[in-house]
Amino acid sequence: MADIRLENLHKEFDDGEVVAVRDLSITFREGTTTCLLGPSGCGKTTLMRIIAGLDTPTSGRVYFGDQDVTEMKTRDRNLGMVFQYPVVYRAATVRENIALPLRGEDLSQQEKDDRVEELVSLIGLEDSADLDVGRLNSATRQMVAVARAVSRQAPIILFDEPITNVDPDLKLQVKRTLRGLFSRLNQTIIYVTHDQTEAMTLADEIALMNDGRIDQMAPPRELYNESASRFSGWFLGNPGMDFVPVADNREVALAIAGGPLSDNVVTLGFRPEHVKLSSADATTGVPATVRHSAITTGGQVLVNLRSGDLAVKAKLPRGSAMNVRAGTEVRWSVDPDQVRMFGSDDSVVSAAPIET
Amino acid sequence: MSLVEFSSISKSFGPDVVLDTLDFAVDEGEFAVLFGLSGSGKSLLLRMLVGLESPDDGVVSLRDADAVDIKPGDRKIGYVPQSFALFPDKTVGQNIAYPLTVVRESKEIIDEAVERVSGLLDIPELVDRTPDQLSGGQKQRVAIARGLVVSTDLYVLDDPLVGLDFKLREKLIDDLREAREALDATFLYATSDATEALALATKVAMLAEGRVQEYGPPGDLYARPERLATMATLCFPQSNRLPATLKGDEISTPWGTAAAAMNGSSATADGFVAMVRPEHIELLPETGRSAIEGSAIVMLREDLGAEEIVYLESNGYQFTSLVRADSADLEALTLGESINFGISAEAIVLFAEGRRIGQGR
Repeated sequence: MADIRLENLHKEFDDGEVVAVRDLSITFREGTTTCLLGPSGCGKTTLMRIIAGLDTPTSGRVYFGDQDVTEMKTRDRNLGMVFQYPVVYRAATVRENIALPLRGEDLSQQEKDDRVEELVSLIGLEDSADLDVGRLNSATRQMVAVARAVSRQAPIILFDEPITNVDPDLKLQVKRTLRGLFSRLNQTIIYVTHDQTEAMTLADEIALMNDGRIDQMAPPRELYNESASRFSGWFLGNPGMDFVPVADNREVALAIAGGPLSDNVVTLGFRPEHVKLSSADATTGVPATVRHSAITTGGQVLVNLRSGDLAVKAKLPRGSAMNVRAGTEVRWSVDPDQVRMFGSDDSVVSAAPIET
Repeated sequence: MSLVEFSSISKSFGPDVVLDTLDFAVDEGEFAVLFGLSGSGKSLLLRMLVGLESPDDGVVSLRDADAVDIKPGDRKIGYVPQSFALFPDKTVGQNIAYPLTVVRESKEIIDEAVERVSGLLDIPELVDRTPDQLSGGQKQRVAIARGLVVSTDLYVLDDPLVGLDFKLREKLIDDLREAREALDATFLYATSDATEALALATKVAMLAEGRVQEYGPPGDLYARPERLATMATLCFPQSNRLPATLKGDEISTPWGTAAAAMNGSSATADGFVAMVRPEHIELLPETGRSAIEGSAIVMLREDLGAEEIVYLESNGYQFTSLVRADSADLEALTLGESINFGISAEAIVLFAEGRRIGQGR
């Protein structure tokens, strides 16, 4: 078992025209499932390829435990890998596929058989263990690939968007199996995805990437509730955070911050589900006009508001009696505890805790 | 009169009946969304309107004229097809301008139109680039701009946001709604994404089994679906089918019974289905509060950020509950362990042969 330590890792392409990973230092803890999450082009795939040894960094070091593996070839790194498309032998059975990586291992036949059976049951394939993999659906094939990747019990397992190409109807089954598997495995797991729900559902820790850097690393709920940057607040959530630029909206900002603002606060951010609406004749709250409203997830109501030039979204609980027809005048407010303050570099300047 | 009217449209491909005597009319000024699962015939219907397909039977009317008599090039429709290709050797600006250059509009009109739509879609800084310098999302914006560049009263958009990552969709949904308002035109838009349909539409048409099952404001269809397809699919997460039977006016489930209020006396129980929305499967309700109560194993918790979808299994049946993330109910949840759930009678909606016949009370 081993943690993965990256030191000042830097990766450029095209003679420095493209910087995929920027002077990045971080440790992925032993036995933890970390999701590398971020938009396309953020560098997450490059970072994983460097950890796998499929790409070499321009500068910086990669350590597995105490061992510097920066120059080591992929096959010597003792990794398991799962890709977008399942790597399986179609003409072989599920059992044969899982047993194959064990062939060169120093184990008795009984130990090998036991391990195969354990994996077959872990991924829930008892009924199809003797079927040719070519006859299985996309989800099941990918689960066989997962079992192959973990069968040698390599200390580090890497997943590159393993659910992306699974049929939509079957994604859930794969997520469920992976969730169960991750809670049982003691390996250090790195899992690349662009899908925030997938990351929030599967990860112990999420490393949120933006523009070649780790923007924030935290357990899922903490990441969502305590955004360390504007990017984090915007990226997580559907829709993401509302933002109030202080300079252009000083009165609004003072009203929702619930007190004086220090000079270094440039932007306020808060989640749409924390915006409360009241009628236009209420004595507090920021006056606004409803631009649009629509039913959203679970019958909640997503309301687009406008206060002057400022656009704000509110996600109201289902069954809210509030009239939110377009054109209606209302007032909105946010509990100051749920407001986060960002400075000129877009990172948080005062960690107002958000209650969940 | 309606701007667009489909009357008794049928279309088959070999033995597959895709559209079956379909009627559907769109009035001026609507953001009309055709919603249906993939393969339901949305694209086909839109392609008939722009002149790329013709019906086996029925009439497509456009601005009160039979579309058969209008050449596809003369239909004055801005069209964003489902699969688009940009000209790799033309700039973004030239790509956007293409529908105007083929009809030989003047340079003045073209420049003005390109500037207007590139502003509308937030891509004015891209007009001098070529497509190979664009991200997937930027290309999609260019394709949408190319559809909107034509100055007309009707735009047809065939699933333009499919495949985009969802932060981009979030932005484009607002942009498209505002684009329609700014153009003061009619949009006819196809999607298989329920959240997108609910967010964009002034009216949604539920397309299933070859016909428009119902057509109305999204809030109305959500609050009172008259068809099973609408209740089941025009929502996120999708509604749950309860294992239930109907005897007289009693709904019976493995977890208890509820009284039913039927729409009419002649209601039939053939093809009976009882549905309940995920937000109405309540976790940990006080016992004795709901008509239907039971315990279920927590199979998976999917964290959406503001909400959680909780996947449950009880008596061999699987269903989902949708809970706000700030709900105290989530604290007692553990994967693989059991939890109490409750469903109030009023949340159960009853259908037979695809039509609403009543609900619990």
